[in-house]
Amino acid sequence: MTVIRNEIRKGFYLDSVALMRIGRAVAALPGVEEAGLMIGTPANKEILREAGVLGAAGEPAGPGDLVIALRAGDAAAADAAIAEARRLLNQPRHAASAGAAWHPRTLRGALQQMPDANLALISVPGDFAAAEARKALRRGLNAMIFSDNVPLAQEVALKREARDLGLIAMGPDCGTAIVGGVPLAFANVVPRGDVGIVGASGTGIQEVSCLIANAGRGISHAIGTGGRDLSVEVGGITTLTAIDLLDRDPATRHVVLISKPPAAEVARLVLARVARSPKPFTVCFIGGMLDEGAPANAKFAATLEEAAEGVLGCKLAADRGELPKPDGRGRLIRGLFCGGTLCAEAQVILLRSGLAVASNAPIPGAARLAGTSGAHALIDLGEDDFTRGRPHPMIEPALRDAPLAEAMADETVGVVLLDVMLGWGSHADPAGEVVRALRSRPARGPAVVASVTGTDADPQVRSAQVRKLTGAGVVVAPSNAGAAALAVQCVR
Amino acid sequence: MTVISTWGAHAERFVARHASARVVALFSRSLHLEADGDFLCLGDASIGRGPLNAIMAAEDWARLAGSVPEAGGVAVVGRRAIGIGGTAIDTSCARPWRPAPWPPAIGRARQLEVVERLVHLARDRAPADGLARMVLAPAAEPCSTLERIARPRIERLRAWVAIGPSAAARGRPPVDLLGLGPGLTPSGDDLLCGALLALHAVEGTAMAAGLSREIAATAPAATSPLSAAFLRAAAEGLGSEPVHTAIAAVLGGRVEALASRLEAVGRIGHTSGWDALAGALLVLQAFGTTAVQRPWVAQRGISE
Repeated sequence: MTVIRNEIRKGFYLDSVALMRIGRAVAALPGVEEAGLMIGTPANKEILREAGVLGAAGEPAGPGDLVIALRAGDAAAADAAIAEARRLLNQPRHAASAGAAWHPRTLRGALQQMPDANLALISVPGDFAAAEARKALRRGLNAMIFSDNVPLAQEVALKREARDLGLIAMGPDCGTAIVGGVPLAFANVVPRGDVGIVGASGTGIQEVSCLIANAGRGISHAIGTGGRDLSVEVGGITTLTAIDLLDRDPATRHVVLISKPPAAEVARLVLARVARSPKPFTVCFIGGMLDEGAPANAKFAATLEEAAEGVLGCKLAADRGELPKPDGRGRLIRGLFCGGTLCAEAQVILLRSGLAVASNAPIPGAARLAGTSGAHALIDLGEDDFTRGRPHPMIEPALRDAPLAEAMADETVGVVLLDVMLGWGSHADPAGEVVRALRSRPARGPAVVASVTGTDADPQVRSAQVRKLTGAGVVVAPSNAGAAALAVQCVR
Repeated sequence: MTVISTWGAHAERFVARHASARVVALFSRSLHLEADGDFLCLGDASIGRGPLNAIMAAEDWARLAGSVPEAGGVAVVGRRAIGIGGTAIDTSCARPWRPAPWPPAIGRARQLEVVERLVHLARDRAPADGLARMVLAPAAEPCSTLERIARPRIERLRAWVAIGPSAAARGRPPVDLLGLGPGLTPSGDDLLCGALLALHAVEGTAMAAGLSREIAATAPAATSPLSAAFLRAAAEGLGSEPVHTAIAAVLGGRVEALASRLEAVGRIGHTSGWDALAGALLVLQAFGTTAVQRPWVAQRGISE
């Protein structure tokens, strides 16, 4: 039986971002059907009333009060949700009262605050990133450079300087790392463990680390290198340094290397270094074919899923769910991806199945996309064409709304393939955004299959996100590769 | 010594009017003092310049935040200093911030072009929460309870603005957006703040005064005391600096400045900046597309 629970906090002030985040977190809890945290103005009480979450206990709220209002499937779920809302509402005050939220404006100021720091995360416009990274290196700090648009020559110079100083420069355009259990930028909350990851791809690191975590293992460190590290010009400087670091780290017992296809001579250099390591490696050059064999201590993996399986030593969940055959529609697959490497992985799956595929970020063997009609089209929405002057779709999933509506309306499309990226930095409720965008789908629309990259420890809670999607009729596969395979099976 | 470097008109007035205040909110970047319904927002430069804001150096803010253990404490307000949690904050050297005067207006066709450009940029970037998207890119069907309730109220405001000063003077301005929507300052209030600023910029005072009067009469029962304080400032034509500069970019025809103005607007709260901008654009669109008498055109000698 449905239960409404309200609680009033008299004269309670919390900043808008925290209010929104807590509201979404409570709404995503198990058993919660609807939830809202709003200032108790008459107009807002009207909204809560109409949404069916305002009960007698919430009615007395005044314009200076905060109302927690929720509706859940049963009393236990409602009580648990109210308890979680209380806990979350109390949290920020403690953090602020400790004075811990001071944001230093300069590297120097930050070091005064934290003299033992050994890593600086640089996120400034590309024109200034190299200068800031150099300052960090010269103060003895390793650098993670989140910024993109850093000239290649500056990247090479920075990485050489870092190497000469015995440090590492991760990036530019390094969006993901986990160092000593601390997620940096776009990363997921995964347990500590014995698997080290070196990756030139942020979403590739996220997918592999989450598949490993969800299978019960953990990550020692995940080191991002930046997308150009394995180019001829850069020569894999950061990848090689990262392998050195993981070789020396006693907690790391297995290393996964992830990259889009590297330059052949750099691949040889890296594989030669892998061969000298005492540790086992899984190497995933996604979409790339290598002529030479793997070193004795390494295995190649064609997909991110296979890379995770290589570490785990077993196949991941075989049950990929079931997708209804498209009824009265065409048999084309339209993939709309937030993660560039997930788009590449899906291309591998389609190509391996003998399907012709086109993409705006094609891997070898795929065609460059020219329009979306008449082909299986896998689109990387994180590419510059979509994100120039706008947030990345992992931050603002609404970027997918228009192409999703277009796919829904296109009768040649039988299956829509989506990825949902969770973790720090990502949107607070990406599955909710997908569900919102799907509300206007036609009655006999295409089947929708998705993967959710994340863990239950992520701020968005993977299981809650999966539940939202399945509740809206989306079939959720256990991995991105699994989702692509399911899409292929459906259009066969 | 902790020092206020810059403050807005209402922050300055707060110190002149009150001898004590209560710490009602403590955030990572700021704290709010309240006294008899007036508010003062103390914080580092990241809170931006605005009528209620008093800004200090980051190090000073860190020291102050560390000395204020909980919301609910008392602050002593003197003529030259504020005392909170054992920290004295010197206000004697604070430089007053006032928004820059509105730039000379450009011709009607050009202004409409710039407004539409800004609408286009803003609707792609505004967050799904709040009211901005409903103003800038109304969808065919409301997709949330908030939208179902907000949309007719937005349209009533749009219609009132569109009929112009002479007709508007005969009817009561619609203020049923007050207190509506998410956020510490409800989105509807932010939208009304933006609309008031834009009315000050393009229309002079008649419509702004009419809307302000209606808001002043309704706000005490309709919205939070903090939000009412922001609305009082907006009634005087005072809002957050990024919203002022965005409106000024439109009036001055500075298309090249729009993207950076939007970035700054996006840093105000979660949706507050976007909602205020949407309110301003609702007014700027109406004044660009209707044939209402526009005193600012005559005052500034701009030809249609």
